[in-house]
Amino acid sequence: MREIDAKLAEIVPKISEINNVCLELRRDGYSYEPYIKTDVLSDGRKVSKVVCKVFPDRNNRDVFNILEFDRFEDVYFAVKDKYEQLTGDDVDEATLLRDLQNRENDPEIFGLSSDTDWQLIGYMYYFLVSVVNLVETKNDESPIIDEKGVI
Amino acid sequence: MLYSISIELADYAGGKPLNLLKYNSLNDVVGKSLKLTVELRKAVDIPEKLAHEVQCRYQWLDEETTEFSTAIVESKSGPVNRAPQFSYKSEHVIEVDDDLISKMIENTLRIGVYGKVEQKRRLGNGEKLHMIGDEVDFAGDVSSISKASKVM
Repeated sequence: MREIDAKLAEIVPKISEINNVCLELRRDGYSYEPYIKTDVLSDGRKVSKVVCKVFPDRNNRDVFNILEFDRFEDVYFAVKDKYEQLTGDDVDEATLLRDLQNRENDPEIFGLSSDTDWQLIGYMYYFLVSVVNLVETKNDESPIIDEKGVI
Repeated sequence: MLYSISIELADYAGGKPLNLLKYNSLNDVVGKSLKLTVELRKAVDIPEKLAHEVQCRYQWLDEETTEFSTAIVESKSGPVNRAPQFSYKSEHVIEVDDDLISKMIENTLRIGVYGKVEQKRRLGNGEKLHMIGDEVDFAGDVSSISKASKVM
């Protein structure tokens, strides 16, 4: 729990900052939010970790990418670098305008694209103790349980 | 999720199947070969937004935790299929020992079901999310990004 608190204390100000930078960079549709993701491992242990959800369009909650903590740090510094480049003393308005409109590298810089675009729907758990007792399972149905424990 | 798990025992991998009814548990067959057949038939009630492409993945019990996956089931046209059929079948052969039995008692086979959002929301290369607002016209107004307004 302490680790979660520490990570949240670290990530929340950065997320707030990155959201402000996005506004400055005319990426007001992008939205970053902290999120606590809980994985239930195959042995039943629950592992929670702090991640960042990135929405390419803040009005569409269906499309998002999840950045693990380390990846978020990379994104944070990449966005910061871009901002500093655009606000440097030697940047003229034409260059600034062109760079603001250029979104070719946005997925990478802003962490909008995931490695696969696959999103976890949920897990089905099969208790292997049945196999230990040599009990076969034929045409059975088990629920798919999502990260929030909803079936 | 509709599925089946079948068990087959043999003295050695590829050997003649033994009668399961003669044994009470895996503890009685230490040293023999266990063949588990995992069949994943169909997932039901998949959320519509993620049902455009669906795939199941799981890690096997071997030391390398090898990942196995079903074929990707796509909803190509018409209404989205919220009950994709995988027709997946895979046989896993493993030697029974005490470690395996302990692992099986304490663990589950965790089968992850993954989906993708609608294709049109992603760019043509299939790797990047489509960004709403790409057509925004900045109308040349960059004045508000001033050095004085630096947020960092």
